[in-house]
Amino acid sequence: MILEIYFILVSFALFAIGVAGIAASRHFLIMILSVEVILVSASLLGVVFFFFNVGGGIMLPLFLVWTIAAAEAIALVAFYRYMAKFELSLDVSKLSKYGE
Amino acid sequence: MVVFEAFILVSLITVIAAVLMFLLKDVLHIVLSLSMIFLLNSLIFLFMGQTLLAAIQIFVMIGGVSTFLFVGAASMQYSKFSYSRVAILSAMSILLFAVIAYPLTTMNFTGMAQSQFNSASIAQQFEGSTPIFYIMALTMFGVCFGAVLILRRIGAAK
Repeated sequence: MILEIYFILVSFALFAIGVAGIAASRHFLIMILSVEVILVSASLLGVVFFFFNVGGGIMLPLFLVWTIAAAEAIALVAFYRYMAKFELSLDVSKLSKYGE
Repeated sequence: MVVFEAFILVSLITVIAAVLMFLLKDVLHIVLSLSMIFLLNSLIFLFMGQTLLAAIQIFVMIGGVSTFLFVGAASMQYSKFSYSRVAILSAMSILLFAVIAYPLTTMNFTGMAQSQFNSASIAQQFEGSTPIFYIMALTMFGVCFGAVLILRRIGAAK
């Protein structure tokens, strides 16, 4: 039998990589996809806690996570295609000049 | 015991795929590695015995989100540079993992009280939450639609 601590550790590892990825990256696409990794880890941790400890009632938070992930993907592709069309740099440190 | 070893293997590949996202340079490969994370996450759901959630995960994340990302973002082949600072990434992720996993050393995990989510309890869980689902879906749709409108306006102004 697999104890729940292993699932929690996997979830924590994904969360740490996602957060560190946002901090360590300047690429617009990679930063957004890091948030997807964090959402995956959140859904995994939620399922672990609800099914090993609390029981039931996971559908609402889980669907919330999936909805946010899907909406984020749509917004990402919209921004990405816009930036590609106008040949804007995907380096977020260079984006400040476009607001001026 | 084979199941446990398979779980360790799947977990390792998941973490490796997450790290590869910051090492690869091609957008297509990055999205492919994210799709691999989604797929392996559904496998981890299977290891927990949650077959229905694993199926929903595959339908939503692999069938919907990953396909959309592939078609929308990765097909353009626009960017091929990697701006992730690997040293900061590795140091920060290891430090963060140690900080958030340290409280687990004082906890007891017995592996008891595992319940399985099945289709019989779907109606019970959805009951009373239907308006919230609708509000959530409409809000997300509004956000996405507004984002596209704003981008079109910005593009027209430019």
